[in-house]
Amino acid sequence: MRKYNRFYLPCAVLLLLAFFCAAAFCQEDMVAVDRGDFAHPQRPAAVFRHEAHNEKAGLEDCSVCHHLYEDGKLVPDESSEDQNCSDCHPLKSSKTAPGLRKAFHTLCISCHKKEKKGPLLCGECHLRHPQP
Amino acid sequence: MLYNLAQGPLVWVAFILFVAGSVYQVTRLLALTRKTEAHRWGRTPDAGPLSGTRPADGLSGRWTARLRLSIAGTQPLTIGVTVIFHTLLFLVPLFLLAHNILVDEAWGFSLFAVREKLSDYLTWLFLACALFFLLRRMLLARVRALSSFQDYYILFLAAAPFASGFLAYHQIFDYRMVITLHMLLGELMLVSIPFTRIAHMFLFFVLRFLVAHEYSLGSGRRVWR
Repeated sequence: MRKYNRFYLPCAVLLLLAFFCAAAFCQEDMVAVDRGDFAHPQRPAAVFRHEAHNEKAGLEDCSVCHHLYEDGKLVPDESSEDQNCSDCHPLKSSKTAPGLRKAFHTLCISCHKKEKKGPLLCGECHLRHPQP
Repeated sequence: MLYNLAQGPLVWVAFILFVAGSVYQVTRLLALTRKTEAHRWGRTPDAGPLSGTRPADGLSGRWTARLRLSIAGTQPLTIGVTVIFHTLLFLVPLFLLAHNILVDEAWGFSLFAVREKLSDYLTWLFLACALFFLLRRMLLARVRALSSFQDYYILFLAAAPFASGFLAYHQIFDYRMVITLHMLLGELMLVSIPFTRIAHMFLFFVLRFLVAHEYSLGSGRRVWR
């Protein structure tokens, strides 16, 4: 019995580790905008189901939202999915980039206005009782 | 759709009626009164509660007597509540985060905003003050005797945007309906200011400073024609 334990225990641990690693690397579909960068978030995180949204909006070009600016100019066809929004958008607005909150709001709302589709009111994204 | 109407053209209608109505009411009231002498700051010494004080009371004695005989002295609770009520009526919507974000979106600049939790607590406090006024008006016989429909209506106009804003913030009931109602109630309040007793927002000046009576703060050098 002892012999078996010596063998099975490390195997079980390795298996568990592999399982967690897989879970960590396999990106789950995003359901809300990450508000982790805000020290005092004022509202519930804005509901944003990445895949469902892009399917509905017919978005295939990542750089539409994951844009890249250099020296205040949009770099066409370059995208920035490998970065966090907060890498370029600090909490406070600066001359070069709008602050993080304003960046989120502008990105979503300007497109919703332009397309005349999607929510515009505060409580339509910042849902207090989101549907699962 | 009602929402588009409330957040677009009706805002302008409300603002124009508010400003034009206010200008009209002030000029009308000044036309109804007549200047007797050049305006002077400070009150007439022998008018009102002060007439009960003697020069021998000294300056500080005169001031305490004046305070004791003022409305703040005779109705301290009501004065306290009314000061809180009127302060919050202006400050809460002005420094509300959601309002300022909308203003910033529209005009590219905005005022300083406080945390939403604080605005939430202050809204509670404001609504409690409004409830105090409502109960006072209904329960005190001497106040009830002087109350007309309009007094209840203006209290409703002041409290309803706060109550609906509160419901919108907490997303109670249908959100889109509540926020539309919130805007419509705000616009109704704005339009009503010059044409109801909320006109005391700017007409208080005439009564408190330009017409002599026991509670006037100015010398009251205008009389009715």
